[in-house]
Amino acid sequence: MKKIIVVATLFLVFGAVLHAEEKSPQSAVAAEVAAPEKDECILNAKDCGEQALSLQSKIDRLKQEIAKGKKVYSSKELRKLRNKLEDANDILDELLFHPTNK
Amino acid sequence: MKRMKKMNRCALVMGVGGTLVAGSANLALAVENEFHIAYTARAIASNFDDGSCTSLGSGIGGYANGVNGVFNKSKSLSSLAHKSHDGFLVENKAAINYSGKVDDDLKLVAQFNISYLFGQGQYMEGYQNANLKQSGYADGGGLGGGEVNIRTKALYVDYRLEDVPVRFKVGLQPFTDAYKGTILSNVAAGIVSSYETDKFELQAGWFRLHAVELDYAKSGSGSYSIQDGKYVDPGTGQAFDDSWRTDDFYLLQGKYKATNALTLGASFYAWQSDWKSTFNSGTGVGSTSPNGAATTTVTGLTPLNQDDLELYYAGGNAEYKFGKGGVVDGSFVYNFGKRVNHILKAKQDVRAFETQASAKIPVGPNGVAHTAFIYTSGDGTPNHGSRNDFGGVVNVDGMPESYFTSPNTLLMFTSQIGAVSNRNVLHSVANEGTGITAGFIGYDHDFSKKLSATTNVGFAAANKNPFQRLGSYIGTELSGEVGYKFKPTATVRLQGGTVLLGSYYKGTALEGDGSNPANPYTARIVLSYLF
Repeated sequence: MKKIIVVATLFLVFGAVLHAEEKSPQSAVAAEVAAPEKDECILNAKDCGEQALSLQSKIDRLKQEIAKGKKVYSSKELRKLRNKLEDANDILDELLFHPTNK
Repeated sequence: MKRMKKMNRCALVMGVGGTLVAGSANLALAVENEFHIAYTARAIASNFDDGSCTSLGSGIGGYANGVNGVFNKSKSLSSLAHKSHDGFLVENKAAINYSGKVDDDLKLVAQFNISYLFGQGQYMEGYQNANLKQSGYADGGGLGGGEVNIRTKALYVDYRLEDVPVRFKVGLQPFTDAYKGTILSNVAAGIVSSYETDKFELQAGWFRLHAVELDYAKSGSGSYSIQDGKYVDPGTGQAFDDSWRTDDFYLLQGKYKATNALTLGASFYAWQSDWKSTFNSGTGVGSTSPNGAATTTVTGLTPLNQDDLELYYAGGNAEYKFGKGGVVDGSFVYNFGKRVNHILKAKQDVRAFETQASAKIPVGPNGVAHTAFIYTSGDGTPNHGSRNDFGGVVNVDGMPESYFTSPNTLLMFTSQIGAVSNRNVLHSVANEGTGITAGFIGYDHDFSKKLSATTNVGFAAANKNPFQRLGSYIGTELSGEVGYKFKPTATVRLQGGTVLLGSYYKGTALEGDGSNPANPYTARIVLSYLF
């Protein structure tokens, strides 16, 4: 009986995962066409509105902006973006740092 | 005043969760507050993963410390049962990372982890005086919740000098050595400075691993007298050694990007500890000979004992990138210095080394084959001459603070993806002084952007035999994983693996009556959510 309940619970968990999968909108990380203009939100934390970025999408957007290069950003701004990317990667490392809690 | 109001508003909205970049065009300096969270839950069915953080080790019965788990598994691989005790447990952890800054150069980072095993804690404290509670890292999931189970895992200030590529990190921060975590890999409090250009990277730092002022109470004595201004043990008439005890780690390392593909690195680490055996009994690892022969307990062998030592690690490493995602790397570390031996009651010279090599080779557009090799020197006669066993940093409880996760094993070494507990056949690449030769080969395949799979085979053998084992072959791990990314931020994984124990464990089951321990296995469902 115990085993049946455990198995049923696991099925429900998977059901929930698949359901979430069906309902989830297209990935927000899907590559946007990089417009040749500065992203003030990413660069200076200006005009962000109510945006809340996941860490992964922040890293993606920083890479996207750095790729625009000197056509769009000054070298000082590029360095700032690179530092922000380094910081975001540091956070990712910290979050996933230790697989145990000792 | 106006600015203060703005800042308060920032503070109010930052609690929403996820990353929130708040600011205003009216301010010269925008306040950035970020929260990021990594959540991991694991449901585990196993005869080995027991909710504890102990290794199989070399002690009697394969392991001596398995009593701290959810299941008291001290018999699970024993001769008494002959078959293993299966168990099922669930554990989870949320790592909450906050970083805040008012300008681009200065940042504060704090990370707190909250974790528990389902069913651990609260009312178990006084249960038949059995002290069934975990040591804090796993409590909070018992009926009623209600445990203090938050831990600080990072708290540091990150400062970049303006116009110069120099950076300082001061405080509790993660550190992993340049050798895949085989020397030191954990969070530690210290100061790390780095200089980084496109070609060069140079890092110098210091970590204080442990510090305490020793006094009579901590020496284990219940009473004292005072003579000539010193605390004296009334039993022995000897003065207590009431001085500061410290345990420090120093690092100096650099990397040079010779070409876009080739990176060369060199490093020098020093681990200096004057922690004395007052805190660490120093009896060392004991082991009986197999087949119930007359006890030949090896005492005084203290591979895990970290007191009173000065060890240095000088190493070089190289990495070569090729194609789309291909990497080959290799390294060599020479370990030297002095450490105390409690049988000889003298310091021994240490002369040891480790060497590693690994490769990742893309196979087609969606596959990666990977392989890794490691050799660490061992010592079969640690109480004679110099010590030749390679050893990374251990804590004052005697447990290794190195984590070798890169081979991606589930049981042989620490898993890459975990939450709370951590049980391995080998807790470190030193294997308590035997040294190891180990190799791993695996293949990862992405079936789609969401569905991926991994298979791994690993083997390990002991290089020396200080515990008088019947053989040197530790075992073969067979493991695999299927991962499904059901949201951009969330993945569910099914993992399974077993270790076929080799001749190294032959006849080492609990009573030393000649039976063999059972092969460990694990089956896990892992849910990861990161944003």
